[in-house]
Amino acid sequence: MAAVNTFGEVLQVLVSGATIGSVYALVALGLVLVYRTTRILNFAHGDVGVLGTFIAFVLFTNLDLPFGVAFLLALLAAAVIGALIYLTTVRQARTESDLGLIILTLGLALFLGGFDALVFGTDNKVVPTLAPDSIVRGFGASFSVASLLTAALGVLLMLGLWALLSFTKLGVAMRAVAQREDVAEAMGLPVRTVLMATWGAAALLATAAALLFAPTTLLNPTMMLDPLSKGFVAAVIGGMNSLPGAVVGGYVLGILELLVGVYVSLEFKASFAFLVVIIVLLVRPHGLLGRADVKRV
Amino acid sequence: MTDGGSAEEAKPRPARRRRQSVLFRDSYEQDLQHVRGAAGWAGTALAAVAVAVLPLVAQGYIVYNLTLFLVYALVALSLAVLVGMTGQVSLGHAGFLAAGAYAQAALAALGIPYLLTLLGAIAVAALLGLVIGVPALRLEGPYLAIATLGFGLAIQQILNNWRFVGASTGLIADRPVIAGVDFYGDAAYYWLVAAVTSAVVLLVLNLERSHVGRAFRAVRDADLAAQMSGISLSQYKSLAFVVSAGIAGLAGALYGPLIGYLTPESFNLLLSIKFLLMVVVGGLGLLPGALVGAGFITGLELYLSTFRAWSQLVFGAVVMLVLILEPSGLYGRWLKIRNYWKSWPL
Repeated sequence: MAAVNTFGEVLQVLVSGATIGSVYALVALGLVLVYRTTRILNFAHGDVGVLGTFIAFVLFTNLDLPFGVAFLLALLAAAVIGALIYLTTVRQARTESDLGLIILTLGLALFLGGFDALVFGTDNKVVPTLAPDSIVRGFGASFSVASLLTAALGVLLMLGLWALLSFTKLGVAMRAVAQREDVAEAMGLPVRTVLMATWGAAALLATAAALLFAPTTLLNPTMMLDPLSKGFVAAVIGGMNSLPGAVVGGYVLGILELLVGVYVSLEFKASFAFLVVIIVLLVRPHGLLGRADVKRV
Repeated sequence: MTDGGSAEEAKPRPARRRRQSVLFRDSYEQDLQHVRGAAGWAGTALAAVAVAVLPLVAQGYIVYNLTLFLVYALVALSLAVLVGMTGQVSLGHAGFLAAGAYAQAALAALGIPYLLTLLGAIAVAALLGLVIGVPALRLEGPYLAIATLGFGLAIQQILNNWRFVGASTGLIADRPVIAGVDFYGDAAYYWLVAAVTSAVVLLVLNLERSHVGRAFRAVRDADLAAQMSGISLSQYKSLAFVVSAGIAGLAGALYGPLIGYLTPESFNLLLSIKFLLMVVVGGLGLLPGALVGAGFITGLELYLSTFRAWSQLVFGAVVMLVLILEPSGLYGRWLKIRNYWKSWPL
């Protein structure tokens, strides 16, 4: 299969890998954002994204809004939904074990998936791309405009998150709560509001990832199952408490996966991600950029 | 407790001590007992009779679902050993179930006697448990959860592409014949599964109260302190994986002939998640909780299947409600109610 190994061919694989990688990275960012503040592996993350995508789809088809506007409104709606989810379920849970909270999000995932199937149906729907699907040629390769735009939007959102966390009061508060919730509360930070904002931001990222991913597949309630598990892998490769790690993990996974699909074997591609995660964890048990929690005895 | 007069006279132990033993224990022997007091024995006897007699009075599809419950109860027990006792999360237990089911079916196809195929299934799954358990030693929390999730999906992928076990078309698993007696009927197979499950329940109860069970719980509650007391973390953590995988493999070997046809898709992530739900909804860390959880989840699914489109929504909502309202699970709630009445009005 790897007969012609031109620069253009490799470049094309890299760009396609980066496109799917930016979806993985967005999913992973949302997962890490939630994990480092509330210690929850959020299995409902994908379903929140699917719900947001359904909202965008309804706004676009039933209300005839331009897709760009529907996209932005869906992101806002998802942020509100994320905050509400935190307020109504996660904050109400009196369980103290990490596993109990994981199970809670699994229940939430089933609930949201059931809700989507009930309200929007389980049939496949076609979601439009943000740009017309034309091809540009250059450097001996051809790229689709839509996938380039997907990659660019992904990078834009990541920069936005970085700016939020670095330069705004809310972002600093989010980092403070992630570091030491009790101290942040003692310093007078409104922890509940900050956590709502964190869950809202994560839901926004999930919806963005789902909306960017939807055109390459079809919209249905189980659409995000594969990107979610890959997002988990990306987050774990990077380190569950490291935001830059999530981005690195997402792109590394996306590109490696595509290289395996093109040059090794297509059947192996699906399980390859989990081989990567096991190898990375054997060498670095807390991910590439993650740090071990220091335990007091 | 109220009608235990004759039972109390039969035993030499003073009545006062036995009356207290339901809530408080004042000797090591009491702590070792699985069944305490006359009420406990009556309940156990009643449960045993109910389990034995049910297929004679119930309809075929109910017997089938009861058998399914018993198989799921085995998997829930295996998870209770791993997650409940040692605190290691597994999101890939459907993989061990699949390994057991496929090993049993493949060995049976070679003409090996049924009981040996059961042993083979346990061995294959336990070996896989060792393969996963050793690298899992370095992992904890979310990293272990995702690694085991990957294991479950990888097993599914392997089965999907392995010609020897039928790849994606699957494998036929026949009901067994032991020493000339066939277990083709639903009721006969139910009794076989019930016998095996009861034996494993007893085995796991004994494991819990042995030094191994105490070491497991020490590893869960304070790994560093356990290590300081001379408990080898790596040994006990991987042992928990091996035992858990072995039980799950046995469950798989019983599961295959029950459903009759194995396909890789039936051992998906959702099944692994369901097993974890059982343990947590029933009551994490409580062995009877695993059985209660298995019964609750299996029953809820069966009941909700009549709701069609609403079933998944309601299922998720019920799971969330249980976790929000009662973090210690259904069995934990029952213990609280029982102890409240036992100690009333204190």
